Amino acid sequence: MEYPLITFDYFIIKKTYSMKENLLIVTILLLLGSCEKINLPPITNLTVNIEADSISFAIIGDFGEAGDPAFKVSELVKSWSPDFVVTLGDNNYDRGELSTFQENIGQYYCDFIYNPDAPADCQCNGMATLEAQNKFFPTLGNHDQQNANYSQPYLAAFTLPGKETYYSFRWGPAEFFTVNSGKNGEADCCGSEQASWLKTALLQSKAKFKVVYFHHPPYSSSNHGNFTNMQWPFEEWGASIVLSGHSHLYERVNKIDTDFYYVVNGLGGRKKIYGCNVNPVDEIDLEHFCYNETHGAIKVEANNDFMKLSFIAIDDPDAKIDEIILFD
Amino acid sequence: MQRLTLLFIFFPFFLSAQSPYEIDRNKETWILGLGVATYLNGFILEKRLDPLSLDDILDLDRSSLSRFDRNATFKFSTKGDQVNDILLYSSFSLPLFFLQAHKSRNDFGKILTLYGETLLTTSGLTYLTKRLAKRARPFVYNELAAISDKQKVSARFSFFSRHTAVTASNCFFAAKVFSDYYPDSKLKPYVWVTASIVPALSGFFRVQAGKHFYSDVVVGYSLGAAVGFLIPHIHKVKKDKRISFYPAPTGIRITWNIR
Repeated sequence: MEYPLITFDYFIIKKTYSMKENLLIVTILLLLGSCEKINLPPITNLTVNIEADSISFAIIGDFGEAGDPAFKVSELVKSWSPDFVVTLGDNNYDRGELSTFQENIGQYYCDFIYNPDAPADCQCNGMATLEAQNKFFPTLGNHDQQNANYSQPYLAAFTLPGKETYYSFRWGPAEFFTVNSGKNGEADCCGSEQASWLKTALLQSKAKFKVVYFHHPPYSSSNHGNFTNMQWPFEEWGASIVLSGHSHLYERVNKIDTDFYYVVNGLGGRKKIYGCNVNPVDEIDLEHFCYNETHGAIKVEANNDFMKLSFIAIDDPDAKIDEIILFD
Repeated sequence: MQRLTLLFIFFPFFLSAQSPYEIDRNKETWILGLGVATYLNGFILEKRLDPLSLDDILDLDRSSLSRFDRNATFKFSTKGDQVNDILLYSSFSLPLFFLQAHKSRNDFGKILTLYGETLLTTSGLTYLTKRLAKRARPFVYNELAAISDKQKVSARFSFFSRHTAVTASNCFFAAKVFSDYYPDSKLKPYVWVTASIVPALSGFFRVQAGKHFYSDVVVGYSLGAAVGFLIPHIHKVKKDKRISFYPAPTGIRITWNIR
């Protein structure tokens, strides 16, 4: 009896093999499975601290699937000429492999990416490289870690501050903090290395606006629902807003009578869009807005007095689907 | 009955009749002595060992690890840990088979002595090596793991895997003793295959739990398997004593009798 296909993480064998051959191949691949040649650059003391009175930036989430939606979102983002781009994870579908980096990310956002430590075929050659200043700040999504080497391709492809799986950077009046919410949103508060770091970093930050972002949403009404493990005491630690992705829609959630917002944006390019109110968030305590008609991105403008976030869809770049204003 | 069992343990050599094994006071003293010595040395070393500081932990860099070992730093699972404990503690019960089996029943005290030596040697070597190597466990590199766990002294005991070594030692010991009592059994291949797989599973789950690197479990498996096999082997009754092994103060004494 012959079996047409074996898949093992990176390896796809398209010939037909007998059961014995299959077993032999699987054994060899199991032995080799952890040895894919990814050279990680050593951790550097890279910091990003840009002085500016006012800034503009874009927030995209779940964008790493090459295709028309991803292209249109990238064109929308570029039309705003943002200073930099923040991503909310799932940068590179389906498995976060280096081999799909250029197709899913590079062709759309290389102008913002400066990654001199990346493997040669993943290095970008756009404006950011010319200026030797990275302007692309991703966070790890579940799809960025779903390969035999976990987040190593992500770590190899980007040149990021700090430990790279979690880090912060300062740009003008805002400081940004990202953590790895894990493969399944399992990152637990509050004793973990990154949670301890985040708490300390937020409490010590002197920035006007402190933006926390990661992949799995603490609150979402979509298919995945709330990720309760990620409901950390961000507000208590001094954060101004929490951004996440994973749910392929746009959502804004805030506790009634407060201006502390949880924003979800997973409409960056992944073709499949999720439904609103599949798992309704608690309507008694929370105010909730949801949008899922088409793809889009968040445009942000900030200065020392306010930060304005506007969700804009690709089909009408002049209209704001939703707007949030944070004041100092 | 408890007293009788203790008697069996401490005076095993009065009980054997047609046993495949023989006990030699000199040999047993050396093996047990070395086992105790490794434990004592490990204990002294542990007293001098400090946990990693926060700065040490934050300075750890995955890129400094070999590609073979690096993957383990991304793994962190409490379920993997639980499976491991089940495998380890289950493997401790394996020698009980020989209490029930008719050929080995009367030799059980002797088997327990050999098992005790196997366990002591494996655990002692593991205990000492962990405290000499002081290798940080993979989860110490993982941002998802708790700082409080990373700052325990035990977070520096990665090399090599005690769970894997002791499980391998238990399984290979049981397989070897079974083979020596039942040399013609058709079950032998199955016993050896099972003995090989169970500690491999233990090693796999230790890596999944973020407790060990691949190299830790490979070394643990190899050492445990070797001890589990060799301790019964060097106690076998030699029909033709042309070659014999004995522990000696300077290492192992090998005697070749030319006739």
